[in-house]
Amino acid sequence: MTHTVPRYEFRIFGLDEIDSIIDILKKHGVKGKVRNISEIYLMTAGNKENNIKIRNKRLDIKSLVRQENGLEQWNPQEVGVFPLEKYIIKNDIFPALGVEAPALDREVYTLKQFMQELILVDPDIIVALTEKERYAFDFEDCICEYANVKINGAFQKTLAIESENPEAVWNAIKRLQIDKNMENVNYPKALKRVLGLEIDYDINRFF
Amino acid sequence: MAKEELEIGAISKPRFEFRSFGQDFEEASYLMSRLSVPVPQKVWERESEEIYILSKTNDKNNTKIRDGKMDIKTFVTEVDGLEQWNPLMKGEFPISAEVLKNEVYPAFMVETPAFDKAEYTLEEFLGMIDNNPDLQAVRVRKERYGFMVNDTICEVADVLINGAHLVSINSESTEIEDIKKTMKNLKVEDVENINYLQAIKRVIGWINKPLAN
Repeated sequence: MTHTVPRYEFRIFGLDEIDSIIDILKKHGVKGKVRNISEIYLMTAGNKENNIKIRNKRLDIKSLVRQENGLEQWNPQEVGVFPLEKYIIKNDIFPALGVEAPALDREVYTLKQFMQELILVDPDIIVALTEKERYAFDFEDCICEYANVKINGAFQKTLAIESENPEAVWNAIKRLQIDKNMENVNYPKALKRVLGLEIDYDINRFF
Repeated sequence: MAKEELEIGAISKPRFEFRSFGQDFEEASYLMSRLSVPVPQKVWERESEEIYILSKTNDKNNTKIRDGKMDIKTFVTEVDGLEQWNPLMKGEFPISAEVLKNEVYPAFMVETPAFDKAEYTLEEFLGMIDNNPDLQAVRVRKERYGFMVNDTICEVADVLINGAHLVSINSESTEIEDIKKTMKNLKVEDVENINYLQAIKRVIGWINKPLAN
């Protein structure tokens, strides 16, 4: 596994209600790369601390290091590129998912074998396919982005602010006029809400 | 036999339906709006918040709750790719254990739990759903725009499934040929018929299939 310096992160998800924030970023940020990215997220109800995704056959696990003053620090770890050996699947991936590893009959798994034989047949694991259009910006000494995201085909917008310096993140939040009551929602949390894997307090308004 | 004249929002004999979900139905929506006859103002725009109850064990019964009322429809038949659904039961919260035991849980096709109360509020019922790993409550918000094309009831809808946005279009009628003509006029003949249950299951990851676009 390789390691990089964990950044503090603040992220929001929404629809048209976050357009005014995106507009400020577009107006005042320094435009960077535009990327279209397809990813497979592996989700379980119990896992809250690991963000497990596959992009271009590369499986990464981001682990939550700490939550501090409303910001989150995640540590990215590159687990490997498919085909992956079974000891990695057993010792790294399934423990991160928080579910028991099944019997692994193969020494090495291609991505297709991994998905078909281990993931899609496991009732405790839900797959979220995401299609992201990501627009990167430098803004107030932070790495920022807004993105249009399709989650299993359903659409949301997201905006994120990242830096190794938490003060810089808070300054950018202020400059983007993000309401102090807006919740910091990481990708796994947003996906779990769409998939219905997290208790949905919004449902209370039906009572 | 003369065709039954359809009235939007009225109860008719069971209708066949084409519906699909995706992100982009702009051309079909435009054509629908231009080909539509004038419709009553009450169906121009409608908003609703609903809870769908999804069951992993079947795609045959469609359960939704709106304004404290439960409505279960059951799949009857499919003809030429069009689906016909019939009302199976209607109930209101608080709902009796008797109804849950004899009508609702059988429709879910999961094991019926033990009931220790005579009746259940919506909150209590959703707690029971939450405790069953084969069932899931899903929030659905709809903004529906009604039209009438070729004597079929049509709509374009912005739908939020657990807060994520989809677009849905549909055409429904007792007359299959009228729906097929409408699909041709709207240029959606080759678009997959995806009902609400299927769309929700695909979004929440219970069915690994894409939406129409």
